[in-house]
Amino acid sequence: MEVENNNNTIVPAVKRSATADVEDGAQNTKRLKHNATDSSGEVHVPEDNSKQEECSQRAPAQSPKKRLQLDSTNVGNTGPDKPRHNKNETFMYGNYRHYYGKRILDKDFHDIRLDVLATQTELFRGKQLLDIGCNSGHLSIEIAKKFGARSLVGLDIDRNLAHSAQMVINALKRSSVTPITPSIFPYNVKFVHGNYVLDDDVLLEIERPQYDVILCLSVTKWIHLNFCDAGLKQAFRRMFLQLRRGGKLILEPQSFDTYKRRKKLSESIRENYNAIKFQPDHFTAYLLSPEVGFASMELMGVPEHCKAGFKRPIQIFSKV
Amino acid sequence: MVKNSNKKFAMHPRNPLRTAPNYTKLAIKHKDFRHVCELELNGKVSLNFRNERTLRELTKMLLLEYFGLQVDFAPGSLVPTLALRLNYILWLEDLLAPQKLDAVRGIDIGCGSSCIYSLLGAKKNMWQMLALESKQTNIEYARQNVARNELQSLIEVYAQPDKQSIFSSYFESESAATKANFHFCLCNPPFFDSNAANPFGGNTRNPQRRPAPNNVRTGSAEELTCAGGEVQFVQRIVDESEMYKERVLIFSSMLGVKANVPKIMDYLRERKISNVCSTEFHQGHTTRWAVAWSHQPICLSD
Repeated sequence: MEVENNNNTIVPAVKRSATADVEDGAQNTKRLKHNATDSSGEVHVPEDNSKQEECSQRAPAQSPKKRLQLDSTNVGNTGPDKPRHNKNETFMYGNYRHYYGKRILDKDFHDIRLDVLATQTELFRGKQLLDIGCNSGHLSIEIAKKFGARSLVGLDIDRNLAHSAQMVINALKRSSVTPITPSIFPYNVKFVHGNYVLDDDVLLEIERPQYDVILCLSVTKWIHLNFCDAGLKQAFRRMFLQLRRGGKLILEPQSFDTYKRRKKLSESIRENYNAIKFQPDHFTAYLLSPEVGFASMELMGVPEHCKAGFKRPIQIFSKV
Repeated sequence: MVKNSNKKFAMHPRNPLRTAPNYTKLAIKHKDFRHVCELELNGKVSLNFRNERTLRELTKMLLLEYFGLQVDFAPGSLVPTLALRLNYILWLEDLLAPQKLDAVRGIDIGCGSSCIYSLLGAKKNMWQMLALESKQTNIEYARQNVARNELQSLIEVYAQPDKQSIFSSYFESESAATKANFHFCLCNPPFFDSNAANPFGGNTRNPQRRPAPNNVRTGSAEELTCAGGEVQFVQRIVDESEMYKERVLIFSSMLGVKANVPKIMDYLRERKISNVCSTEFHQGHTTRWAVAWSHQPICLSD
């Protein structure tokens, strides 16, 4: 399938007037001030992974799509006036449109994190999974399909994203030749719209174990900025309560230095940012403490062959 | 699925349950209720109505939340559905409104362990209620419910010595002679006939098209059935009303089966009781009926 232009245009650095929005850890970058009129949460510069040319004057912005290994390369410069998608939109929950690129899900889709997850497929095979913050569902669907999950539920706070993920599943069901079997892909996948953070902690009293594995990939920052320390702690407790005995939480938390650039998203996010006391480097200790109750943590891996900013450790927390 | 906006099948306009309660907020507020709720992935709470404990905690919570009433139900006894009870009370309010009464007195025939009609009438409308009940455990629970809600000044629970009579035991008793008259009586009779082959069988001609209700049956056989079912029970109320024409202004009773409404209307007509009216109570998928009549020259049609 042809890669669409919009995705992979390389815009020559010299024409860029907006500033770079750089993920942490990238080398050779200077932090530049945001253009005052740019209100979008993410400045998008599409760029092919394998043909990265570091510019010494400014580094190109790294959108999450940099995690995608796209097998086709530059499809040409379409000019400086091409409107960037996602411009002038605020993604307060990290609920980016086209997070996984504009590709429809096909055999060429490959998020780099799949390589790490694939090192322990026995975690997923025949298991009931929950993916928190699944966005458009591309990664969730790949996990369910490739690793033979018994079922997968994807949750996203953005109604449109959850809906379009469900539409993808519905299309797969319609075009499927296999008979309808509830435990077989794609019939065993569904997407739900909602906020994982509950209106009140007391509702945790009636939470029940129902999943073998919970995935929470690159979501903690957004919960933290929108729902504060209390919301994130509650979410961690909820994850533990929703896991069956022997269950696993697969967590990919963002580090605190990546939060700062998001504080402009809204007034309340700025306030929440300033109020944070529960630091990401204390997450592990908290998850292992009696307040949550996980028994152990192991490092699953760190994605390689991608931009440094996306080399986030993926952890597994085990419930006895 | 019946929509609330469809006026034909909506609850009474003044029924606070006409808009569905926000169960999630209520679960956060009320601990016992919370523990019969299920938490959905999206953070909302849902209820399995096909469970007796759920129904009991739900009604207890709604009584507390909407009326400040703390009610206890005897184990195994009928769990009343609040929406229906309210619809009946509100219909009576409408029937009584033209009378412009200062102090209303009513009779609750067979108040059960919850004494719910009397509690609602007293708490909501300051009605003075006489609650008649024959079963001893129910009498004790009813009196405790009245005391717990500090409504002893408004509600008297009368221990009915026999189940055959409706009013006569009370009206013929010594103290009754000096008491004032009543403006209404209400009754939620045992709907079903204990003499029938299959008392709970139902009347439907097409079970495929009429699905089971989304709840579970509660209550003892004594509360749900009696000899001759609701038809005979209400006929007895009609008969006794003729003995006490001036003691009660408006006689009324609920009926659970649609086919029984014309039977009671016919019975009233045979006795030349012409001042009658009837109504329907809609709540969710369930409809009930009620009939009212009077031996005094008041206007009953709504």
